[in-house]
Amino acid sequence: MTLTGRDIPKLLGPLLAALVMFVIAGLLVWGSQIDADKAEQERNAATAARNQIEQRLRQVRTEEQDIKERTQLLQQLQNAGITGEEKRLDWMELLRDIQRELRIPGMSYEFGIQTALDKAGDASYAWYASPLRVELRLLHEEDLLNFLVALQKNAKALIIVRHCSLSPLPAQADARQSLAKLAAECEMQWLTARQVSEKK
Amino acid sequence: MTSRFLYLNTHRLLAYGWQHGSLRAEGVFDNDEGGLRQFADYLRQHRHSQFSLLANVAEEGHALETIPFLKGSDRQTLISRKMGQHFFSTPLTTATSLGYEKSQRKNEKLLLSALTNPAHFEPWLTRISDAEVSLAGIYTVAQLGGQLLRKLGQHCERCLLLTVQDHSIRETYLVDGHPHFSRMAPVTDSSIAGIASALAAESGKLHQYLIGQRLIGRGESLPAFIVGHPQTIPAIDKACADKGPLSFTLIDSHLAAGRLKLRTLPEDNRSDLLFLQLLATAPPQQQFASDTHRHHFRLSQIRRGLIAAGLCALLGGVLYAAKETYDAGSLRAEASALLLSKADLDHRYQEISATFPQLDVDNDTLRRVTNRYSDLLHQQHLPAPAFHRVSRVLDRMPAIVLEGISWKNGQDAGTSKGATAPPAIATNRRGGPEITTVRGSIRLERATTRQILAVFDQFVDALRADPANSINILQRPFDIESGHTLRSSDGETEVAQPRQFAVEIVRSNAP
Repeated sequence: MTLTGRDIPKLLGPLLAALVMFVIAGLLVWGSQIDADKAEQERNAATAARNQIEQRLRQVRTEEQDIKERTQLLQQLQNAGITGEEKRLDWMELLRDIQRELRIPGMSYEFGIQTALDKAGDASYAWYASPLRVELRLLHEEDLLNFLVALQKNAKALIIVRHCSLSPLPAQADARQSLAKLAAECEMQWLTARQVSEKK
Repeated sequence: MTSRFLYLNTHRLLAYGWQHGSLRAEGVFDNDEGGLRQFADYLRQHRHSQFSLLANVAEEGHALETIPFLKGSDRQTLISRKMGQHFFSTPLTTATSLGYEKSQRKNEKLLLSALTNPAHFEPWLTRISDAEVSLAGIYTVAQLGGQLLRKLGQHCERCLLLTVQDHSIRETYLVDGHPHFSRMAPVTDSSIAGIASALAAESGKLHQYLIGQRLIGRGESLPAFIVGHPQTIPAIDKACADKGPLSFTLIDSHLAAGRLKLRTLPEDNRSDLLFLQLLATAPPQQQFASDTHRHHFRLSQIRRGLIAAGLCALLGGVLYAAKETYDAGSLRAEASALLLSKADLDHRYQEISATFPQLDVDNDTLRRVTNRYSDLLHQQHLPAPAFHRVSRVLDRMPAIVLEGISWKNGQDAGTSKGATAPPAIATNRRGGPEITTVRGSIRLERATTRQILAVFDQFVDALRADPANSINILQRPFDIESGHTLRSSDGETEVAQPRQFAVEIVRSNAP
């Protein structure tokens, strides 16, 4: 059979109809595949979400007591003022109060710049350290020990003493300074914890 | 697409509509100008139908031919040439393969058939072509004879079939269902007795003719089948008593119609409807129309093919989409079940979490912050214990005067320059060693160097008595080691001056 130009219009209708049906079939396949893919994604997301909460639940069950204890500890830290922004004004007042209370003849100190204790990561909560260098003139070496104990007990920070030196003072001409027999110098870290999003 | 059938005899053309085994007469068109015009109008009315033409004409020829074993276009060319030799100037031909000879050359046996008077068909075929209607093929009554017998369960290798068509008798000699000879004999007496006697006479004449043509052997037994109306059967039976080599089998046309599932029963002896029904239900593979005559049929096949392909694609698409939609539904149902389960677990988690003190940190952060706090707490030491230990030793040694004491804790602590390397002590994150450096002097009146060194050694030994201590001597009262230069001085001055020393006490803070 040989097709002629006159035959083309006779085949045009069925050809278009077939094309339309092919297109509709293609659209149906495409649409249904997209819908199925979307449904699979929804299922996978639901599976992941369920697994996550299941894992959290399993974890919270096994570590329930541990979490409770840690929560209580964190609350204690909050109550002690160790968490949150450091309170340098309170620290200054504390140092003076202890000096007054222990009758320490001389005291000078210097707080350094606060820095993060650990390397920066994606943690939302971090520990920060403020270095303190303090020089004391003492009547007795016991005053240094009492001074440090009082600091650790009352400061609104976790205090780690890094270095202390004690040496006798040479004889002084000044009457007020002559009361002091010993010179002490200490370096320590005042540690606080706070959320990273808070003021840097 | 509706199937319609045209029955062409020597005088006129009859049109039938076919539907589910029922044949409905739709028109009778004479072979004249008026009839042809009416036929053209009829075709225009049914231009979307598919037509098949069944011819019952006298001008029909059959010839047996043998050709070499060929295939494809060579075979077709050879057949066309043979057709031209046997049936010159007619395009209405067909060839039926009868198989291959069992010789070495495997020659093919062919039955060539033709409608030898194309002029009789031409006016009708021209109208069909002009109307651009689909003509599936041209068939003959003789061509359908073998199939009729097969459908009726009458199997024979060689036989005669006699049927009444119009006002004539169609006589066909069939070999293995193929018509090897066919002719038409007019019926002069249309009465039952006249038809019966004509059938009996024509069967005898045909038998004699076939013997004369040497198509059958003399005295060879030959079955003869006669199709007739039920009312005519007794008369035919009476007229066609078995004589000689012919054994007659009469076929009731109504019973045959039932076998062929034809609902429109023949009203008289004519078998037209039986053959039309056969053509409608099982058309033969061979037909007489040329490609030109079947052009519009081929076009309609292409159109149907395109629509069928589209429908198949659409059906496939719908089925696939249905499956994907079902799968998507299942996945969504699964996701819903998972979300419900998640909500339930979430609720349980919230219930457990509600028993905890409320904080603005999650569990991981809580764990990290408190762990670090524990680490830091382990580093929290005071110098008091170290000072007390040194104090207790000094109390036992009044000759030693303390000039200064220094204490270091944790990572910042380290051995002083020139100190003897201490034993390995862990300096991990939980806290380094605690180092206490004692500087003092030994004041003994009129003591010798040996006595001063003995006091110093006694002091160091007292410190070493505590196994947790590791002692590094930073400065001796006298440098008498081989690694240092030893110089003399004024003997009295040397003994009178207090001798200074420095000792480092390293103590592990590890728990």
